[in-house]
Amino acid sequence: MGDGFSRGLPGAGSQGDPSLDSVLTEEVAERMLDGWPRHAALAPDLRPLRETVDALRAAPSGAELRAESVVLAAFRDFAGSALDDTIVDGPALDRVAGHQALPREAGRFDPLAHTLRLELPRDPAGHRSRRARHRARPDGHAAGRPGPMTRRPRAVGTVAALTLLVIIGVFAYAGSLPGPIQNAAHVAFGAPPVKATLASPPSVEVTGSARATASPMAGAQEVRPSATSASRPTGNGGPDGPGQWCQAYLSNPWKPGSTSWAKAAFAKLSKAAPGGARWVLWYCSRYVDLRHDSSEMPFFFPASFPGGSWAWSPEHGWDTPAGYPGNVSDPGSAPEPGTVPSAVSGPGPARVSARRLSARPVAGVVAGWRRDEDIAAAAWLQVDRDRPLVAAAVVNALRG
Amino acid sequence: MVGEEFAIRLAQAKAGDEAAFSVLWRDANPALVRYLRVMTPEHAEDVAAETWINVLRGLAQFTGDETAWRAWLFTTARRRALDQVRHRTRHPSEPLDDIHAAELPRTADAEQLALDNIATERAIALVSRLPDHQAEVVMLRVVAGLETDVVAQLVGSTPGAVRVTAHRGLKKLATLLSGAGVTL
Repeated sequence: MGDGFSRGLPGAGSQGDPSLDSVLTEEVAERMLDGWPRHAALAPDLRPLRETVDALRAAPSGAELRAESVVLAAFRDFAGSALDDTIVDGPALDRVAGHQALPREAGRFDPLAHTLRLELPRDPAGHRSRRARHRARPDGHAAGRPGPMTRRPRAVGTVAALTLLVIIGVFAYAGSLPGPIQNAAHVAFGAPPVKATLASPPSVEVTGSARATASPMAGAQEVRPSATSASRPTGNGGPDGPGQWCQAYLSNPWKPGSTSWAKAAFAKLSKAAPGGARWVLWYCSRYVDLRHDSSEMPFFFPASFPGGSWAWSPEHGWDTPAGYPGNVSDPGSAPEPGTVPSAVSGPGPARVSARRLSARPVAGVVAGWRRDEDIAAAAWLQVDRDRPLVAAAVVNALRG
Repeated sequence: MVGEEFAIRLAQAKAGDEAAFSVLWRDANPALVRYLRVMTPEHAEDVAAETWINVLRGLAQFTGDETAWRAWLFTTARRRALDQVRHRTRHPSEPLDDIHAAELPRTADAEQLALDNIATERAIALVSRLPDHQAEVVMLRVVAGLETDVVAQLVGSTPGAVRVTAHRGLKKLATLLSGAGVTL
C-alpha cells in the first residue's frame, strides 16, 4: 500500500475510545459512508459525524463548477477537429472494476484528430504511465518511449506519404503545378499562388469552398477606406495596395517565417499600420472581411488580446481597440457602422476561413513564437470563436 | 451520480454532444475537486484540469457503467495527485474558524447553499486532518461514491484493509468533532 503517500499506515488513527467504539462499529461506519438514511436511528453522539459526512456530498458550489466553460471548450476541440494527423497511441486504460479497454470507436469523437496543449503542468520527470503520449511534443523533443514508427507497416506508409508530399511541395513552391492544383497547394501549405495577369485576374483562394476573385486593377479603385487618413499607406490606389497586402498576408497568417509566407506583404503592412506589426490584423480589418464563415455572426477579440478586446458586429461594425495607436478619430479610419469593410469589388471581400486556421496545431505556437508577427498571427487564431481555449493558450504562451 | 441516464449521456458525449458531456462533468467535477483538495490542496484545480484532459483523450475508448467511469476518473486524478504529493510539504490544516467560503452559485436559495457550502468546507478541512490514507479512503467512499472493492483496487489494497481504514478514519473524525465542539 506504500504508493507515495507519506502517511496513512493502516494502523494509524485514533486510540480506542470505548464509548465511541460501541456506537461507531465497522458496520455503522460502512452505512454512514454509503449514505445514512435520514429516517434511520442514529446515536446522538454520531450525528455531528453524519452531518460532516453528508456535507462532503453537498450540492456543488459555484467554485466547483467555475471551470466548466474551459473544459467544454477543450471538449469541443477534441470532438470537433479532425484535420490534424497527430499520431497518438491509444490510451492504455487502467483495468478498474467494470472497465475494459476496447479498440477505438469510429465517430466524431476522435482523440487522434487534434493535438491540444493547454497550460497544464508537465508530467514530472520520472512519471511514466501507460497513457497515450503524442509522438511529437511541442518543444520538439521526441517521446520518451517507442512510438508508432517502430511499427514497420505503418512506418513504411508514413514514409511514402511524406515523400509524396515533399515531391508535391517542391513542385508547388516552384509554381510548376497546374493552376487549380497550384491554388490548392497555396491554400494548403502556402505555396505561391498562380501568378496573375491582366487578362486573367488571380484567384485568391483562401478557403476550401468560398472562392473570392481579386482583380488587381479593379481592386485598385476600390481599396479604401480612406486615402486621406494618416494611418493609411500612400499609393493604396495601385495594384500593390493594402488590400492585396492583407490578402497575401492573411492567406498564411499562422506561418510567419516560412518561405511561402507573404513576408513582403507583411513588411509593408507593418509599416503601414499605426503601431507596427502588432496591429496588422486590426489594420487589415478595413480591407479584408475577417468574419467567420457564419458571416452575420458577430465576433470579438477577447480581453487578453494586446490592446484589449474589440469586436465587430453587424449592427455596430468595428469597435476600436483601446490600445490602438492609430488615428481613430478620423472618420475615414474606421468603417461606417453596420458596414463590412471591402477590399475588392465583384464577388465580395475575400473571406479567410478561421476554421482552417484553427486546424493548425497549437504546438508550433507554444514552441516559442515571440515576434510581433507571431503575435499578430496568434491574434488571428482568436478570431475563431470555436477555439477560445486555444486562443487563450496561444496568447498566454506568447505573452510569456 | 448521473444514474439511469449515464449510459445515454456517455454515448452522446462520445458522439460529440457537448451538453451530454456537461452533464457528466457537472456530476463528477465537484467530487473530483473535493477529493483533490484533500489530496493535493495547493494544486487541486490544476490536477483536476489535467485529469479532465486525460479523460477527454480517452473518452472515445472508454466503455463501462457509471461505477467504472468514476473509478477511471479518480484513478486518473489520483495518479496526477500522487505526482504532486511527492513534492509537496505537509500543510497543517486550517482551523475551522479560518475557512473561507467558496463562491456561491447564483440561485434563489442562496442562504441554504451558503450554509451547505460552509459545511462542506469545514468537512473537507476536517478530513484533511486525517492521516493521508484514511483521508483518501474516506473521500473515495463518500465523494467519489465508490464501493469498498473498487476503492481497494484503486489504492492498491484489499477490501478488508479499506474497510478498516475507513472505519478508523471516521472514528478519527468523530474524535476531532467532539474535541473541537463543532456543530454543523
